[in-house]
This record gives sequence, structure tokens and C-alpha cells, in this order.
Amino acid sequence: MEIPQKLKEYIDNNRGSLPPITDPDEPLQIDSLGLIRLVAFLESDLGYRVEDEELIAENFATLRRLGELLATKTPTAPTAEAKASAQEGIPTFSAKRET
Amino acid sequence: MKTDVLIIGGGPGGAATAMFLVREGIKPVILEQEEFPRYHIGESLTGEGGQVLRRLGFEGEMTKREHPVKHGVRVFGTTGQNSWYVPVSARDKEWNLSFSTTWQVRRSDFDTMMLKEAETRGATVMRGTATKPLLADDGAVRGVTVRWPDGKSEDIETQIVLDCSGQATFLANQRVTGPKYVGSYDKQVAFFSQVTGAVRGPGISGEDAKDNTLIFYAKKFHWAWFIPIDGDVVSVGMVTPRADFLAKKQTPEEFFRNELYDINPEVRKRIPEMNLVEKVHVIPNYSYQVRGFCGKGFICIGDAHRFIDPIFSFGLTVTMREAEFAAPLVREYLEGKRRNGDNPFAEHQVFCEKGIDNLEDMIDLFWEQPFAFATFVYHRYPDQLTDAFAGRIYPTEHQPSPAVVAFRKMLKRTREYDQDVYSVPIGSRFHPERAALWEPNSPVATTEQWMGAR
Ligand SMILES: Cc1cc2nc3c(=O)[nH]c(=O)nc-3n(C[C@H](O)[C@H](O)[C@H](O)COP(=O)(O)OP(=O)(O)OC[C@H]3O[C@@H](n4cnc5c(N)ncnc54)[C@H](O)[C@@H]3O)c2cc1C
Repeated sequence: MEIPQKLKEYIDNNRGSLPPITDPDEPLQIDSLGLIRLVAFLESDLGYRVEDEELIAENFATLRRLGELLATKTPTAPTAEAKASAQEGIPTFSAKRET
Repeated sequence: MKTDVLIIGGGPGGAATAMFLVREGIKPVILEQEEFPRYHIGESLTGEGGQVLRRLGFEGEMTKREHPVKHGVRVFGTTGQNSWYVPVSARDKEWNLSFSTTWQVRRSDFDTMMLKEAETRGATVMRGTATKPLLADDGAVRGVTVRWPDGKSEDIETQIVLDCSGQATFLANQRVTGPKYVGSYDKQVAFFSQVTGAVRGPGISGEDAKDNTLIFYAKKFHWAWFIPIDGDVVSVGMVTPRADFLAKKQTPEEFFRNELYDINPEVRKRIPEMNLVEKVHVIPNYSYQVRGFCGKGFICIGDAHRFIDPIFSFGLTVTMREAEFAAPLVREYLEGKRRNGDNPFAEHQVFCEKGIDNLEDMIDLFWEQPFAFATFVYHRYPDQLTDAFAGRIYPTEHQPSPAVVAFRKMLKRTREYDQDVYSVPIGSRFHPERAALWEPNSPVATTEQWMGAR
């Protein structure tokens, strides 16, 4: 199981006050909104494409499950557009923000 | 008595139908069995629901009446700590997306305003109950028998009957339509009332706007709503599986008071005290679908043919939009067009069905795969989902969108619209025990019986 260093860092930095993960079978303990951000990070920053059918919480339960998911994929370079939208934060409706 | 067009039901569907007909130069008769104002559930409009009201010229009146302004829907996850938000949006002719607003309404006020205005614009409103359809030899509807409040009955002869009778599904119950099927959410019961002293959002626009709809998600098929209906009062409802209610052996009010806080921790924060200012109402079995809901001499509109689930507040939008779509077709029918063939309104029927099927796919995916759904809203298809939440669901509105296509793929569902097999109700297809309500083998004789303790 290969977990990219950037991803491990992202996860460790997004678990609130929990310490970094050491056990691949330890629950990630990221809430549902955090998981959505994680998917956005995988796609926009790391260039992985997560298929719609793969969007089940179990696939993101532990580092091992996540590694298994990513093992089936080859990352591509993130597009400039995807990067920009990830930086604006989510959600990224194309409409103008309300003032 | 004789009239060209008879509308059964003076709710928002019937009143909107009448006003769109007046625009076509037709002055219909509306038959309504209840004295207005009367209580009704269904208080939150979508973006397109608001647009229908604007097209009917109600923007100024809605503002004057101070109906709460809705900027979006906020959905709280199980722990109450996280929420996702979908803003109300609009599209211009070039399909550019912008943020918009719509309204929350106290139905007794809103429905009375709509019905009175339909009358002012030229419709005739009569108090009475449609009891039986009058059928021509070829099966076409040519009128109805009406019972007046004094108990006397009379036949009203018409060229066309527009059934806007809501969940009473008048023509379906009279078996003028195709079969009526139980929907996928038929095992749910809704309990609802109104409270004062609720804690609204702190803002004036966007996610925290004070009059937004809040939805509290607990787990599959357990949820609650919070819909401000004026400056003081908030409509609060809770939906659970019927089995949960029966197991507790409590009155609806006891059950509502006891269970509401358990839905989600956020509920208690929002409703610190249960100051109920309305009795606790109950509606079971609201999920159904009528096939063949248009035909010679009739069109069913809104709840009169289909209702899925109240979760994202589509009822008023669908009934008023179908009213708008139907009006020009009714005019053509009166002009003598569309008189050949079995179903003069076949295209309209499929058009409406496709729209609600898109909603059904969305609602089903929300219940089946909440994580995927939230990812779609926030990351994958935000624009397409604001469209759906706003009620832009019809084939002329870029539907099925990539989001709906994704829902279907995940639900392993295909939709076909050939003459005979289109839109077999999904719930029925996958649950053979959900027979059509009045097929010979159905244990339930009438919809009233099925509706149970109403
Ligand atoms: C629990 C719950 C929550 C909901 N929440 C929402 C929401 O937040 N937003 C939303 O948009 N929708 C909501 N809905 C749906 C909404 O209530 C309906 O979609 C909407 O009221 C349909 O309008 P209508 O005019 O078609 O029917 P109705 O509003 O039901 O009007 C039908 C009228 O016909 C009359 N009638 C019936 N039979 C006869 C007869 N035989 N003769 C004469 N008159 C007759 C009735 O008296 C009634 O006035 C909800 C529904 C439920 C069950």
C-alpha cells in the first residue's frame, strides 16, 4: 500500500486535535464534510479521479482502504482550473457570490 | 350547469391553473370543497416556484405580505456539527446561473391570496365537492357530479376537467386514470406543527439568512424540517418510518414532543422550547404515483397524480409549473385541436413524468448514498444540483443533467419512456408487494382506506 506523502500530511492535518495516524487500520475519523474536502483534495491537488460509484464512506474509512482505492488509479497532473476551484474552497458554484 | 373548463380543487395548483388559463383567454370554474382560509402543509417554495409567482405578477404582493425570504436550504448531518448548503438560484435565457431568493409561506394565507386573485382575474370559484366523473361513450371525461354544501347534487358539463384535488387524487380514485401505485416512501409518516421562539440564522443573506429552510438529517428515513412562516412562527416537522411510531404506542403529539430532539442535536439548539401554536398534524402514506394521468377531457396536475417525498420541498413548485405547462394545451383543446388519438395530452404527460423522475432519482440517491450526494452537491456537480434544488427539472432545462445521469448510474437505474413501459414506478418495480393500489389482487380497496387515519 502506497500512500503519497502529501496525502498523509493532508489527512494528519485535518483530524482536528487527533495525533498523526500510525496504524493503517485506524479509522481516519474525518467527518463527512471533511471527507468531501478530502475527495476534492485528491482530485484537484493530487490529480486522482475518484469515480462516482467509489464515493462510499467505507472507501475512506482507513489509510488501508484509501490505499486500496488509489492503487487502482494513476494520477494525472491537476488542471489549472481544478486547482483554482479547490483554492476558493467548496462549494464552487459558478454563480456570483451573494453580497 | 355548463362551463368549458372545470378545475377541481382551489389549492395553489388549481388557482395557478386558473390564472394561467385566464392569460390564455379562458375563464374557468374552480370547485373547492373547503372554506378558505384552511390549514395546509407544504410551506417552502423553490427558486422556480418563486419564479412562477413572479410571472403571475405576485412579487410585490408577496413582499407586502412579508412572507419570509428564503435564500437556500441548509442540511445538518447526523451529529449536527456539519452542514451543507444549497443556495436558491436562477438561470437567465442564456442559462447563466445567478443566486436568487424565493419565499416561505403560511399556506392558509397564501392559498387564500391565490384563490381570491384567481377570482379577481376572472375565474368563478364555487364551494362544493366533486363526487363522480361524467363519462362519454368513448371514455372521455365530460363533466362531474358535484355535491353542494346544502347537500343537493348537480351535474356540471364541461369540455375538460383539470384535477387539482391534491392527495385526494379525485380522478385516480374514480379510476378514470391509469392505476395508482404506492411510491417508494410509503412507509413514512410525517408529524408537524408550528412553534414560536425558535432560533433562526443570524444573517440576512446566504447560508445564515434568518428565514432559510433547515433540514436535520438523522439516519435513513429519519429527518426533520424547520421552515419560518412569518416573523414569529416556524413550521416544524418530523418524518419517521411508521413502524417506529406504532412501536411507541403514543399519541401523535406525545410522539412528536418526545422524539423531535432525538433527531439531531441541532434541533434542540434551534427549538429550545416546544411552544406549539398549532395542533400536531399527521400525514402517513403520502408517496404515490398515478399512471395515465392525462386523457380525453382530463389532465391531473400536481399532487393529484404524484408525490414522492417532502424532503426538498418540491410540491408547490411542481403543481404550479404543471399548471403553467397545461394552460396553453387546454386552450388548444378548446379550439378543437388535439381531438384525435387516444390521449390528447400524451406529450405533456411524459414531459411532466420525466421532470418528476429526475427528482425521484435525486431524492433516492440522497437516501441511499448520503456521502456521495453531499460530495455531488459540494464538489462534483454544484451547479447542476442548484438547478435541481431550484426545481429546474424538465427536459427543456438541460435535464437529465450530468448529476441526474450520475444518480441513475449509482442507483443502477435506467428510465425508459416508450409508450407502454415508461415510468413504471421505481418503488413498485423493485418491490413486487407494492402492487397498484387497485389491481384485483390489491388488499386495499380505496385510497382513503390506504390513507388510513387521516
Ligand atoms: C409532510 C409534507 C410536507 C410538505 N412540505 C412541502 C414544502 O415544504 N414545500 C412544498 O412545496 N411542498 C410541500 N409539500 C407538498 C405540498 O403540500 C403539495 O405538493 C401542495 O399542497 C400541492 O398543491 P395542490 O394545489 O396540487 O394540492 P392541495 O394544496 O392539496 O389542494 C387541493 C385542494 O383540492 C380540494 N379538493 C380535494 N378533493 C376535492 C373534491 N373532490 N372536490 C372539491 N375540492 C376538492 C382540497 O380541499 C384542497 O384545497 C409537503 C407535503 C407533505 C405531505
